[in-house]
Amino acid sequence: METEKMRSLMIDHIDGILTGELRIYVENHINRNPDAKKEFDQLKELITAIDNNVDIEVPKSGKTDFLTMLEEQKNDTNKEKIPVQKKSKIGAPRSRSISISKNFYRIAAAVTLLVIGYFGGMMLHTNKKEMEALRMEMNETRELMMMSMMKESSASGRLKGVLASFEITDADDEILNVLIQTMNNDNNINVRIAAVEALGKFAANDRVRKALIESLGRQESPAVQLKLIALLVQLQEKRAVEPLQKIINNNEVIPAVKDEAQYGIFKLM
Amino acid sequence: MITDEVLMTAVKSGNLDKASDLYNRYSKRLYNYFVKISLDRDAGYDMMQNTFLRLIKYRHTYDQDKPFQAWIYQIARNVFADHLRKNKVLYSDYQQVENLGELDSSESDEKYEQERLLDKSLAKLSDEAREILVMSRYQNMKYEEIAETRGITVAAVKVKVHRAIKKLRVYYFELEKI
Repeated sequence: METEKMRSLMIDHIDGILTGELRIYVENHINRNPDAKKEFDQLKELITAIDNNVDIEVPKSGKTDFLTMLEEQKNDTNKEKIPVQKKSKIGAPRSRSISISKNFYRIAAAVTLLVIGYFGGMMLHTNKKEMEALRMEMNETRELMMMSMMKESSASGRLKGVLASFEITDADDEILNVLIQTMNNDNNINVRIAAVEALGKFAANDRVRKALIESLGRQESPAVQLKLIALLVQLQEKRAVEPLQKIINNNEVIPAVKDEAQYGIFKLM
Repeated sequence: MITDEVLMTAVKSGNLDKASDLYNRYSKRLYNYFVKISLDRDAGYDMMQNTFLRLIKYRHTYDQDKPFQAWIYQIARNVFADHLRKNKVLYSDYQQVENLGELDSSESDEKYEQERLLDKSLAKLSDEAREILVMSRYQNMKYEEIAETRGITVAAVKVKVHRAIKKLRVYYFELEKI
């Protein structure tokens, strides 16, 4: 039998679809012929490797991007519909749905003008003190928003929370605690990296620096380790030398991170 | 459960929101399909979203008497063909294959290496061979289903899949020696 045909039969055998005499024939061929046995074993190893493949998850932005596209398409579809209606009304009375929507837009425009006028007037009379109060209120709202986002169950929600903290100029202890906890315990790498970056902004605070140094010994993901090393070197934080040395001595750490740690020590010494 | 065909027929007749249910059912499969055939996560993501955009744009071409899966994979094939045309990507021996799996290098070294080796070997296959192999072995589609998306016979699909596996074996064990 041709080698190619035999190889195909071997694949069928691995897939478990051979029966009866053909199966026995293939098995005998494999057992009597060392080259065939080697090929069979290799095919089996390859197919097992493929079967071991685990599907990856769609990035979190997937559904949002899809829904945005869907809305755009819906709008486009509606736009397409209007000219069709216009065509059909030639010589015929204006359709009811169009006149309703036109009136609706007129009313809406009038209301909008009123609202703009009212608030415009208010703004003109608002003095500095009121503006300041408004600004503070906005700050508080943002902080509240951030705190609630930290409790989000989705990684993208938590990421948004961490990113919101970039806007805050003076973070209080509560916010710092949430960020430190996120950096150390969040189960999503991207969220942890964002938390490291956010904490970098508050590095003037010694508590933050200590937390960053301490986190270096805790992180197991290479991406987060690299981010921390880069930040601590940038901050010229000499207290990081000891944990960096530990990273170099740790056999579980990958070579790329060890190299970066070595380089970090060189820059800090 | 409402079938894919019923959902797509609803989309075709103007109920675009039903496309959302089809997204829930097919996004992960299509994303993995594109990532494996393009060996690029970002490109895979864009192609997956593009497939759904085309599903909506060309909804009127859907024939409700035909299986939805075959139709969406036909769109997917066209999206991939356009991607190749635009990027003129030649998957050669020298192509850098990024780490496509969920594993990172700190995890089980052997499994990680095996996954990398497999992706590098896949990169060496022709686009057509990789596509058909991914459909059959990674997407677990039946030969009949693949035949439907490509307009060829079941026997021809089997020959192509087997040919791809045989080539892959050679590349895989060649690379393993390096």
